[in-house]
Amino acid sequence: MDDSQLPARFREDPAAGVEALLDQYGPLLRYVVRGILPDAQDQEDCLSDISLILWQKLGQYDPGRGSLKVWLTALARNTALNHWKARQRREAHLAGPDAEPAHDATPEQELLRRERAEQLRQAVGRLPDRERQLFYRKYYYLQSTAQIAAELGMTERSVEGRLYRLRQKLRRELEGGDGDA
Amino acid sequence: MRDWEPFDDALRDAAADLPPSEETVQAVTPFRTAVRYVTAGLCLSFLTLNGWYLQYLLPALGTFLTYLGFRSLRNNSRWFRFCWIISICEVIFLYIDVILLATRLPDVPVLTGLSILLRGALFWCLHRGLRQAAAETGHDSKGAPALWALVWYGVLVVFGLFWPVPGWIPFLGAAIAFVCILLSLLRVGRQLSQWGYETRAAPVHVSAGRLTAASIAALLALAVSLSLLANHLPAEAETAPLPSAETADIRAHLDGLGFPADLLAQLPSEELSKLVGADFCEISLDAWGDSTDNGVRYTDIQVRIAPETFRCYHFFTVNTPAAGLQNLLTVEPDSSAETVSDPAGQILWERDGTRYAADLTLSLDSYTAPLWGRTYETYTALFSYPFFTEARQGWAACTVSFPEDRRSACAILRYQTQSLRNLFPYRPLPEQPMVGMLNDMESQSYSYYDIAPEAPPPAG
Repeated sequence: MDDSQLPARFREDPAAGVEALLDQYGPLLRYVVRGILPDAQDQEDCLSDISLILWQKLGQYDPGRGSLKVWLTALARNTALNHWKARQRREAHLAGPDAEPAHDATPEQELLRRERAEQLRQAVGRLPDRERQLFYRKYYYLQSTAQIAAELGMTERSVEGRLYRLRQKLRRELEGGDGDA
Repeated sequence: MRDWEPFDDALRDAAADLPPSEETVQAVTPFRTAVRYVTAGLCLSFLTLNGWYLQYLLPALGTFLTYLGFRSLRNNSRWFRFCWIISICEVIFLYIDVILLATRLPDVPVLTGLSILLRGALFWCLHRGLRQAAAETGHDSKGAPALWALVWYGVLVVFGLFWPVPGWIPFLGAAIAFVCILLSLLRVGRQLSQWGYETRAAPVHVSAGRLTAASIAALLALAVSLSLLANHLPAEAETAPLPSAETADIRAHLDGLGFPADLLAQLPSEELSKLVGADFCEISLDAWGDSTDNGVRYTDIQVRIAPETFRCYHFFTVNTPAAGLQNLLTVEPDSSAETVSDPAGQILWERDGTRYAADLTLSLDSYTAPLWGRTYETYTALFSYPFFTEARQGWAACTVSFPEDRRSACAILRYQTQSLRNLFPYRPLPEQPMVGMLNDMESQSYSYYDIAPEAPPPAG
């Protein structure tokens, strides 16, 4: 089924629409989630959550703002990241009850975050294609060095070297420093 | 080394607001990269662009790319693992092929047959691998590009066996079919990545770029070193003997006839003994004909040893690094000669201040002039000077007898050196492609001499 037909199918018959979507993009969602969550049980929980979110949000998808594939990978990524953070918090809590609790950002912090996001968007936009892909693999899809190396046909050491240079470059761009400070 | 963890965390959090573009999402999907390698590899493997060694380089690069593509996919299914193993065999065959092409070793038809079978098996395994991949994503693949590639390859092999020169129309048909197959392969790869076919990427110890660069460099080094060895013909060298006392009288006599002393010193005793009774010398000091300058210079000397009988000498100096590769020398006596006999020759050189000489084996050959259809008899020798030598010289001679009514004659020596572009694949120099319209690598000596001079110059 064509991407453009899926939202219409969902509006006609939500169950069939989500089923068709999962049929087409299930392995892709699993690929994104697997890179972020190494634990198989976490992956299954996350995929269930994604199915639920699709039920709730697929109707809000606007093709004018990007392709369905991009929207789905973003959804999978953010859901998986939330799972990962929740697990981190649980583990931190188990390790020491005094760990600092998470709290919402203040309006000033939110403004600062947006400014930094814009700066980063510009910096990433200036990266060459290969470095931009590496950035997304590492910081968006949160893939491990081993996975990146295997998929790109590189050694882990070589990937670490590239990541190091990428960090230096972004650091210089974002802070105006020499990157090694 | 700084601790990048806080910076990584900040980037990770900020990246949530930077969803990737469609292109980036596509590029990150791992299956596409592997399929692109395989497709590019197959494409290059079948490209035959003659010139600049591209007919060897592109297929070699294609073989490596095919290997790299299947290296990434080898953990996905047993079919892709078979493809990977076959691609390793193809890389090994590539090296064997280069060794066979670069050296004088004969072709091994079994290897050709095996490589054809391997390529067929590769297409079959790729077909099964793609089918299985589609099945794993719960889809049916619409095309079967690898199966078509197998059929296409089979047709090509049959053509090669029974119709080697099929003409333009079948060639164009085959080329168009091949392009369609490649496009279909790319389409299937795109479909699979859209369906989210997940590669179980295998770890590697050497990066793709480095591996390709090292493999190509090793292949080039192998081809160049073996080609240099194969195109160098070893000479059975002996220390050049000093002039002996037994031939002192002959040398003095020839010196009196004007035979240059430095050239006389090149001739061994047995050669000098053939000049007993000489009564006349015709000397052409710079006999270089109107030909290409390939670093060879000539002095021609005809010595009359009996009425209407001459011993014709061609002395040459060779000043080109190509002398270490194949050299072809062709003595062409005058076509009006009654008899031509006793061909002989030597090459001489110096190394570390010592003079060496090696006999040339001159064999009778003939050629027919393309314009007037006349056949000429010649003597040819194929040889190389040892590398890193100086003062490279040599001579070739034969005895020629003429009928009484003949007044003059000419003597020709053609000397061909080897062009570097013909180093690979190995071929004997006479079979190598000509360089330039009139063969830029060949020069010649050309000298006229009187058969019955009016008054021979006095001896002494």
